[in-house]
Amino acid sequence: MHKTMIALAAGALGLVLLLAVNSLANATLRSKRLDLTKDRLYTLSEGSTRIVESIDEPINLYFYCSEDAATKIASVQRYATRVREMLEEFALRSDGKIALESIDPEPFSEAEERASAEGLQAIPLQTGESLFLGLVGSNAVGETEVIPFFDPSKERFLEYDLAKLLYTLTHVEKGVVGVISSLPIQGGPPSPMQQRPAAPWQIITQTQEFFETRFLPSSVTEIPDDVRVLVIVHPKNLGDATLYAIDQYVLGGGNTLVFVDPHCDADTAGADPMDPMSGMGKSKASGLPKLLRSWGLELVADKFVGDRGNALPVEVGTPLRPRRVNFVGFVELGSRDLDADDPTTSLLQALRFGIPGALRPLPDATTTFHALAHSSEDAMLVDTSAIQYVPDPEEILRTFVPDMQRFTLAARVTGPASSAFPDGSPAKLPEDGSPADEDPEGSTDEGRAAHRAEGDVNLIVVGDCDVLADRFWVQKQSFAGATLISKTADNGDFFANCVENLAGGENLIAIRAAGEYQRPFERVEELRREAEAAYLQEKRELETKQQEIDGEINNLIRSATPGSTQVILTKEQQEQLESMREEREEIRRRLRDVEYGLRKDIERLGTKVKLANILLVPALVGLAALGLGVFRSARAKSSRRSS
Amino acid sequence: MKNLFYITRRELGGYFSTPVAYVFLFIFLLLAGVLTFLLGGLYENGQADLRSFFFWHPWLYLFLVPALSMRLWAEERRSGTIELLLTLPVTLWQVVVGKFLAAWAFTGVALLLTFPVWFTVNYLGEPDNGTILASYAGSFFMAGGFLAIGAFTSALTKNQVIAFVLGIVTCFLFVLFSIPPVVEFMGKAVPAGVLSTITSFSFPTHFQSIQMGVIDIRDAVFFLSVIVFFLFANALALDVKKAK
Repeated sequence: MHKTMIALAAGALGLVLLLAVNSLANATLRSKRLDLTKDRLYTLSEGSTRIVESIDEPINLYFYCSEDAATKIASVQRYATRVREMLEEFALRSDGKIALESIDPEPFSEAEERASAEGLQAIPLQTGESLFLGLVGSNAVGETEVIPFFDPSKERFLEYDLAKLLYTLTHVEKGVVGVISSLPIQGGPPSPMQQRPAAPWQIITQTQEFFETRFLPSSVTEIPDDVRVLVIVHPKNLGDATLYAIDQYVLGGGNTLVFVDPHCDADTAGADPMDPMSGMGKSKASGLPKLLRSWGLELVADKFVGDRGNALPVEVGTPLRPRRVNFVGFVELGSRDLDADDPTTSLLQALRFGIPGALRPLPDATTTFHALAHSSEDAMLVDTSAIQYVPDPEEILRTFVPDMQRFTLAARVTGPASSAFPDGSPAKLPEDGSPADEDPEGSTDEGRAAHRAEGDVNLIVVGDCDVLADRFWVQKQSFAGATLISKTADNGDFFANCVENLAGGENLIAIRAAGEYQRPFERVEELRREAEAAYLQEKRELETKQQEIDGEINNLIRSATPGSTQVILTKEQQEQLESMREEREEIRRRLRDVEYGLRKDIERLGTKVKLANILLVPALVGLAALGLGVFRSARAKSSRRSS
Repeated sequence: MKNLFYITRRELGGYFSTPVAYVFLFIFLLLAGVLTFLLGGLYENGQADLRSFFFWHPWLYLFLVPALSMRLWAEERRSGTIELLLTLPVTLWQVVVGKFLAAWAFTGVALLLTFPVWFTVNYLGEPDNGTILASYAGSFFMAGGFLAIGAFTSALTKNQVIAFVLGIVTCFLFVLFSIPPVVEFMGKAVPAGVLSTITSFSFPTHFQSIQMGVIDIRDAVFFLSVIVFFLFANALALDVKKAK
């Protein structure tokens, strides 16, 4: 009895010790972890570290978390812990500049009122309580930035969002967005046909809400120092001096957003609005071939990307008999065609392009080319001459042969590059070839920046300018004197994301979305692609035939009984109908075979995989056991015999 | 130290000479495969990770580990061989830890034999092998936790079946408080501080953290401290029963 008591007491003590050790560990061992993930997801990335280390003023971070409510839901508790610990790591690396305070806004408390006042979102739970999980950051001048709610489904952007908040707090001057554009995106004086001045494009109006936008002339020879992001839209025949200015700006680390286009629908330059024919034949293309080349990429000339897989319908035919046909030049890319990890594209659902060009990295590029948006595989490069005059979408579809590769429509380009002007500023070189060092006035030497021969670039290049045009992403409706603007695509968001991301500088750009990478089964995808390549053509032909047959059958029925509700067919017509229906059944059967063929190989692989995993090793174990059993009984028998 | 090594080796060798071990391996591997592919849909999901595989481990261990541990002590106590064992020049601790380590090593073997599924995802795609390695390590530690509990319950009785049932019930307590509806229900009955302490002691919670690819030292401390505690309780139980 005595012994049992001691044992129980010892056991109880052990239990207390167990609880104590774990509590202590939870409280103190905060940042000690072994990050084995391939991309080091749980360690602060270099970009974040640099942003934090560059903070030179005191920052206050107030982390609001409703403890009671969070404990109830395991996934929220886990995420809240992750957020808090990441904040602590930021604070740790800030060398004391960041003061982090955790606040539990209990219901009806002052803290809760303050949380709501600051703009934090309270999520009502099933239990009736409200959950606060947000952040308020303020800097030395009293400006605040808020993350209203940390959404667990956006965990991949946690580090980016926090770094961006810190960056914004420490770089309050928004900076200037400089725009060089050959398109009238800022609006303009009234044309002879209209009475009101042309309104600025919605994309600019939206940008002007957050940034000071300055429109630079196409002949600019120097990019002003305070331009944080340079946006170049539809550059046509820019002079060498301007090209040089851009070249030097980019090499100096200037963040640049470039829109080029093999054929821009919105380009009416050279066209007289009174004469609809005058615009035809004039080039609607833009490019920066010299600069793009030095940045390691090119826009495929005279061709646009026709993406049948993402084509949008347009109206063709005469006004009396309009038809809707898919035009492969007007495309809407969905989330599967956009980079899910880049902050500029990850949250977009639909991005519309109008006759986009293909961007390609050059084989000898020193920069890194990363596709942000690409076409489906059901795409090909179409000659721009096909749409130069009167485009015929149906003709293009008829002659469409998919290339089974994805063309890049927008890309991020970073890394080291060399100047496109290896001999320095083109303005310095005199026409007659004499040496440029003698300058009688001697004053132009001063203030001239040193020529940059190389540098690291931060660019986003987009192969289309129509993506910025209003008609591709907004719908304006006049309502009671006001104009209601509704979005039909996320083009505006894309532009805003690009500008914001580039304005954040190279460190913010370096922080990509982390966690939950899509890691598809490459082998299965390959099988799928091969199968599609083999069967897609046949499938489309069958589908077209099916539509035709359906049309014919309908016509037959309609022609037999014009107007009346009863279907009266002659014997001949009945036979015709029968044979058409048989043909339709045949087509349907063949379509099913094709669909089956597409999946067949994939399913076969799946079966093999499952068998191997479920039965293989257990079978081996069973065999081993049997073998051992046989071996032992044989040994036992022989030892019995010998004894 | 040498004694510990010999005890472990002897026990481990003993496993492979009994049919129980092979039956355990067979069932464990078969079940793991069936659950991963037929219920978990690893192939259909199309993602090169082993989430659908590791998801089932707490449940697999819950039922299979007590089956393994039930014979650790109960049988020896019933047949009296335990007394014989303790007359040898070994300490109680060495026997307790030795038997545990042997059983733990055996579950390690079982885990290793799941290698086809690792080959499979590497063949089909490009998984994050660091995360998979962390998950295997976490699973191994979790198995150790379940084993320590099972060994303890086995020492409490002479009847293997009772040891098995007790083992499952106790292990289940460590799994119960990771199930969301249960936690919600408890939240109504118990203050938040107590609730968070209870939930922080559930095995799947810590295992899930490790499955993200990060071995946080707190998770390692958790599993190790649980193992140490139950081995300690194991030794205590034996000590008390020894006299009887």
